[in-house]
Amino acid sequence: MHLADKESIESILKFDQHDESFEFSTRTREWQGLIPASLRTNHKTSTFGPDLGRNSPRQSCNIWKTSDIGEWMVHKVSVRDNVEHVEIEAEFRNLADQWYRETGVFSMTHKKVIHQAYQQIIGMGKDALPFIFKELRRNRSHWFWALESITRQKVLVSEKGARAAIAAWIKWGEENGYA
Amino acid sequence: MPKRLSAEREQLFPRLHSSGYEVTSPEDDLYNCASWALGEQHSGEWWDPHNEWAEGVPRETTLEAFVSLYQTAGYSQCDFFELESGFEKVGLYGDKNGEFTHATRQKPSGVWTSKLGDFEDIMHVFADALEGETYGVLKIALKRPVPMGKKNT
Repeated sequence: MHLADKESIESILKFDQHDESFEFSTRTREWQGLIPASLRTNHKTSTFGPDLGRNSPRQSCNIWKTSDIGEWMVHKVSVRDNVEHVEIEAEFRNLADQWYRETGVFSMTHKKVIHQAYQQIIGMGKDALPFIFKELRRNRSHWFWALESITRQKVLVSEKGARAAIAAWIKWGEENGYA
Repeated sequence: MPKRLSAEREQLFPRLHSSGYEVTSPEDDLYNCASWALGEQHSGEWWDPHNEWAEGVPRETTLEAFVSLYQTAGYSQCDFFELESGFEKVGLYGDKNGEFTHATRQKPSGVWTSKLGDFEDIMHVFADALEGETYGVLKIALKRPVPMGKKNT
C-alpha cells in the first residue's frame, strides 16, 4: 500500500491478512466533510470513499468502520471490496467511453440517452454514482438523465445552463455521500 | 497546416475533407450546435427539446420545431445559403424522417461554423459539407438582419 503520500492520511496502523482489511488514521477535522454523519455515528458500511492518492491501487474504498479517538479517526477499509470497486469502475469506464465515442457527434439528448451503453450504466444502479459524479467534475454534462433515473431525484437548478446543473448535482452528491 | 478532426470523426462526414475545413476549438459537451448557431453557448447551454428551449415552441425534435425556435431569435426562412450583406444565416440539417440533426451558422466571411455534437467546433467552406449518413441533408436556410454592433464569432 502506498498511502502515506496522501497528506490527509497520517499513518497505516494495521493490515489484516485474514479479512483483507487495513486500518489507517486521519485527523478528524480533515474528514468531516467527507464522511456522512450517519457513518460517523453508526459505523455502518458505506460505498463512498476517499481519494487515497495517486499511488494507491484504489481511487476509493468501502469504509467498514470509522471510530472517533479524540481528534483522530481510525478507518478500517476492506481491500476485497476495493477490488470489486475497481472492477465496477472499469465496467463504467468501458461503457462510458463507448457511449461517448458512438454518440458524441449527436446534438439531440434523446439520441444519446437511448444508446445501449448509457442504458447499461443506468442499469448499474447506485454503483455507478461515484463515477458519474467524477464525470460531472470533469464538466461532462450528459449525466442528468442517468442521475434522475438512478436516484429518482430531481435536483432544482436556479439558473439555466449545464454549468449550474452540474454544480447543483455535485452539491446533491456531496450531501448524500456519493461525490 | 489546418487542424483536423481525428480520422474516426472525419469518416462520419465523407464530404468534409475534400471540401475544406479546419478545427477551430476543442471538444466541449456543455453546448451543442443549436446553441452555437444561436450564439447562446456561453453559460453551457444545450438547446434541444429536453434541455434549454424557448417558451411557446413545441418541445419536439422536428425541423419545424427548430424553425420555430430560430424564429424566436429573429430568423425567418429564406431560399438560399449564399452570403447576403447585412444578414446572418443559419442552415438546418434533417434526416429522412424530418427530424432535426444539426445547425450550422454562416460567418461574415461567408464560410460556415459548426459545433459537432459534443465534439469540436469546425469552420467549413460549404454549408452542405456535413451531409451524409450522420446528419442527413442540409434542408432549411434561415436568415436575420445582423444585430447592430454585434461581433460575429
